[in-house]
Amino acid sequence: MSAQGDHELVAAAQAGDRVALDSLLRRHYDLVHAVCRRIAGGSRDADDAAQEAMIGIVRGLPRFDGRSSVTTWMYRIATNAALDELRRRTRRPALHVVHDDAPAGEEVDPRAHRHVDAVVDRLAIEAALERLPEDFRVAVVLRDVADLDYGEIADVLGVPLGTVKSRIARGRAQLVELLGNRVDPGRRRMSAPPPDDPTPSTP
Amino acid sequence: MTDHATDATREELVRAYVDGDLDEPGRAEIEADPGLQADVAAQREVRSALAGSEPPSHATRERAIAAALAVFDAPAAAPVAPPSASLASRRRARWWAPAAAAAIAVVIAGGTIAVLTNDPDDEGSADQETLSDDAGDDAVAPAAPAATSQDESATMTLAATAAAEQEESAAAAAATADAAVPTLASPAELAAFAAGLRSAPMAVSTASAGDEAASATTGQPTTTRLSSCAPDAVALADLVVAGEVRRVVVRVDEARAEAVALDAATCDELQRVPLP
Repeated sequence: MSAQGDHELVAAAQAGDRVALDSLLRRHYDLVHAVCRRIAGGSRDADDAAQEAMIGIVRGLPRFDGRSSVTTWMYRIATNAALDELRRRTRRPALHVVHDDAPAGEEVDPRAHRHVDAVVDRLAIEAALERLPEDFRVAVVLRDVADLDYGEIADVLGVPLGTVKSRIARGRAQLVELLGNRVDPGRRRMSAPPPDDPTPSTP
Repeated sequence: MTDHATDATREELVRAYVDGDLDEPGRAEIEADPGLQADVAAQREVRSALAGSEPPSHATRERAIAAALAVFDAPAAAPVAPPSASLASRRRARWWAPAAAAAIAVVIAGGTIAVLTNDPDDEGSADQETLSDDAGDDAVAPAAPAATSQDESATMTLAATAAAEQEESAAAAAATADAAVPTLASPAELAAFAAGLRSAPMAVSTASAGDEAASATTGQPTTTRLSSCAPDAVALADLVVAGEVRRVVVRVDEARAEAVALDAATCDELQRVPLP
């Protein structure tokens, strides 16, 4: 079963093969979750979004016609699920924004500009990602987390190739700036941005 | 880096270099500029940090996959009665209704005639009696109960058939109703479903399982039943919880602006999510 390609698994699942579907979902779950994690932010939201994505894949199975790659199709669903989760969270009262699984001691105080080692603190990255404009964040995540090529990202987002490149360039540059490397290029440690810092302006 | 290069072109250049999307002169330009090289190094660091996402827990993965597979399995779990069978059933019922009514009318009319015929005060009957001989009367007398028995039998057969038809229709309706109960695959769907309930008119009343099935046939969130689980407006749904499909009663907690799913059998609270 593991030797089967994505398209074969999808075709088998479309024909009612539950085992094939199970394999397909397992093969992609971790990366789908990673995409959701980077787009939606908190781990609880990422869990929900990734589950939504898995369900979305099953529901979309009958309509998948194989014209795009399976990964493009799946990451499109994952991206939408993560964005939906993100929007839901922003509408939610602050009381409900609780990341139960984050140990209390790990919480970052951004004002303290606490430095972490060269291995980037995931909370700093998450904080920076959260401050990135959504368009930039999604493009960067699809490139740097999902490892999609520009064409696939353009397909997922429904935007021209040039726009994808531009969003990735701007997004990465802003991430570097938010994480402090631009201010001190020689520094090899990252810090979470203070919450009151203005987000770098977009062109 | 050339003097006329803007921030945007710098960013484009670095992006292209990091992604291996740059031609030879472009690469040379970057490699000759310490500032651009620092940008490249910083972007690479960010890139690897982004890719190094913490993997989800085993339980989270299994729960998500189980939920998705439950959705895949859902149609098989709630078979829908074929529309043709349902229509055929209704057609048969329509055909039987006048036939049964006619048969019953014949039986009643026959009985009435028999009673009138046997009325000793009736002159006509007496005249008829005189026309019949004793043997004939003897022959008729035992036959009367037999005829009644046949009538009863016919009536019972009709009643049984009608009951069977009714059962068949009810089963078909129940199957259709079951299939029409919405399947909510996630907390988000529960929230959206409950939000729909909020806008529906609150017409709470007592209702039986039959009412429940009947209102479920609309496929819309309904508030026209009172559950023992929740005194306020509720609706039925199938909710995927930890990979299992559970029949739930959905209510809206207006005070907290939350959707609540209660196990339809035990009334235990299974899920509570903020409304969208």
